[in-house]
Amino acid sequence: MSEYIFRRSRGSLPRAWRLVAAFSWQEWLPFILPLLLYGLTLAPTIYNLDSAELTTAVASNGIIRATGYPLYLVLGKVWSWLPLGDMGYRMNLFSAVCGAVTIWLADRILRRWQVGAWARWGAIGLLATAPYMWAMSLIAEVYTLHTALMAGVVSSLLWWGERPSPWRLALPLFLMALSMGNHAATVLLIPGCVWYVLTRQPRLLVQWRTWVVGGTAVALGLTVFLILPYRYGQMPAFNYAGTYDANGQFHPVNLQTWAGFWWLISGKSFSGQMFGYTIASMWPEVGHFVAQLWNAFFVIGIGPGLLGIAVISRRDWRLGGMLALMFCANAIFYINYRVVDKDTMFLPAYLIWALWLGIGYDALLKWLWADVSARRFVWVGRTMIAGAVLLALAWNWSLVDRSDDWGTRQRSEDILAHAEPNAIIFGWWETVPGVQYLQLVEGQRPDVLVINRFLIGGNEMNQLILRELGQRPIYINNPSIELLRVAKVTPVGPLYLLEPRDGS
Amino acid sequence: MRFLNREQLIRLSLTLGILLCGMAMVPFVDLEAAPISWERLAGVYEPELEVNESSGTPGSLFAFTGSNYPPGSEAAVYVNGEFFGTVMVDGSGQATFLVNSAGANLGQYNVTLEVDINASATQSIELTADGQLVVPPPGFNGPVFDLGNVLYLPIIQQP
Repeated sequence: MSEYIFRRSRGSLPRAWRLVAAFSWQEWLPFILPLLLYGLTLAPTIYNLDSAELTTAVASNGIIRATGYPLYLVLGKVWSWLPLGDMGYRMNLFSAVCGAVTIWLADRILRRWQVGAWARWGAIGLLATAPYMWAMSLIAEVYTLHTALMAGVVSSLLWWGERPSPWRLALPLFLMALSMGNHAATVLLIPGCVWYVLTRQPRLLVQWRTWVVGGTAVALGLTVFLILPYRYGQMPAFNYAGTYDANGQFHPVNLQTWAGFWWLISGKSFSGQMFGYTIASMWPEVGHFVAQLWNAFFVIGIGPGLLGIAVISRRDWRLGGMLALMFCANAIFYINYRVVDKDTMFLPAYLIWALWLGIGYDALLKWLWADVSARRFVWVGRTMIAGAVLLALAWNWSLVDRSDDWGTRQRSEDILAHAEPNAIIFGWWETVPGVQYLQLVEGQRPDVLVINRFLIGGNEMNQLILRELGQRPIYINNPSIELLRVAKVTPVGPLYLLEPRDGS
Repeated sequence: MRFLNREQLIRLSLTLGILLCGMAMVPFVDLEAAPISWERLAGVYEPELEVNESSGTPGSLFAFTGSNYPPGSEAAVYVNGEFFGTVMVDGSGQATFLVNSAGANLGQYNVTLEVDINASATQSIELTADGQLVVPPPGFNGPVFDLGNVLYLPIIQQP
């Protein structure tokens, strides 16, 4: 057996090495340096909110809430086999690698446009150290996988654009379809992609081969969605697609029917938040986005980014149009998305801005270089570009550093330590997925029933609590007025213990 | 300036102008200064109720701000479980109101702002004899609810 493994690894090593050796060490740096940065500041274990939900679902072969994120479930599962740290750490590291891949691909795109090294490093340096790009690379989340796939789509479209053919178009189409399985916001890239294909080579669309090859690529990419009905069939213990009734019974949405499947992947449950502002109330949100962009590119990146828009639009209006459409679609959608955590969702817009920034920086430096007598000032520009990255690194480090953040694990362990046997715990994301991680991944306290309030209606929860009050210990994160009236409420750890009032 | 000719001066100042034009936004925007942690994003799922001071002497006027409530909904204000009235939640999910403690007894009061069972948050204030007189921040607006006629009835018991 050992000989067999030895032979196999000996055979595959040169292939792997050839892949690595295809790029010089300088070309690998845009991957290695961000990975090092993210590795140093990575959350050491399970993190909270969506992060805990994603990690627990990956580890326990579970189902995540809308839009299902099947690609994340599949890639995460494969990644989770790495023998590194605990499951929480591994999935955090997955985000770091995806973040580093995003930066690396952004560098590849800028190289393709012959952007000089200082301009490239200045632009991708600010992207890598942008507060939310950095922060989302340190915890299990879907955003950096989304930006990596998006950068892959842009990169492969450019590759297609160099020599348009149906076969070359298959790659961006496949990546788009695959990316839909990670984040439904991939649809926001469609206008830009369609624009680029139609303006670059419209005649391609009348060729039957384009449709056959393209359709096959899309179908292949979308097969990742099949994991959802498959997982439903396995009846996983961790399932966020369904509801609890007043008896505490979970009723999963049937993902093996089209209605149930579509309900999950279309994100219907979040449609109320989409375009959730009136025209008047939208303007402060626009201002907020501009402020976020300003923060992300650390003041210095705004002017050259605008210059980059002008330069690329003049140089190649097809490409300029594609980038503008991708940026605007993402910015407009998320500006109008009424959720508190939307600052984490602007990363695709930042990726496009970083590309503009690289072009803008490059144009400035080349313009200075063009006049022989002004060449000595190129160093002024280079110093400011490099200085902005170093300042952003120093400023944002303490804001995003999660390397010593054991809070979610401690809080979840604290909750379970306080919970009496056979208890029911009600809470939202800050309470429940972390506890479920300890239960389903680490096997702690299987006697406790933990219910996310997202999955149970208010009336059903009330009925369940009132029926079980006095029968089994009940804990809740925030008791309502109705419960405050009928129950004795005692703070226990991070939660409240509900007990029957004396005499009732 | 004798070291710079006109062409050099133009190139240098335009470059600096483009690199530094983001500075024009400095008066309007602050650099990110708060840590980006899950606590900051938890409100996406759960309403919060904040008060400007958690304790004061009777006669204090406490300013409450509820956030992350369903926008445009009507929220009920309760003190120690008793209904006091309603406030409207604005388009951004915020609601503000004041609690006037003039004539109220010393002790702890649990103030709850609730739209429904899943959109409910409670915040406690304590009236102490030696506390400071709390006043609302300048420009704070909202309906005023008088504590004066509430019986002190602790509902949340400390262990």
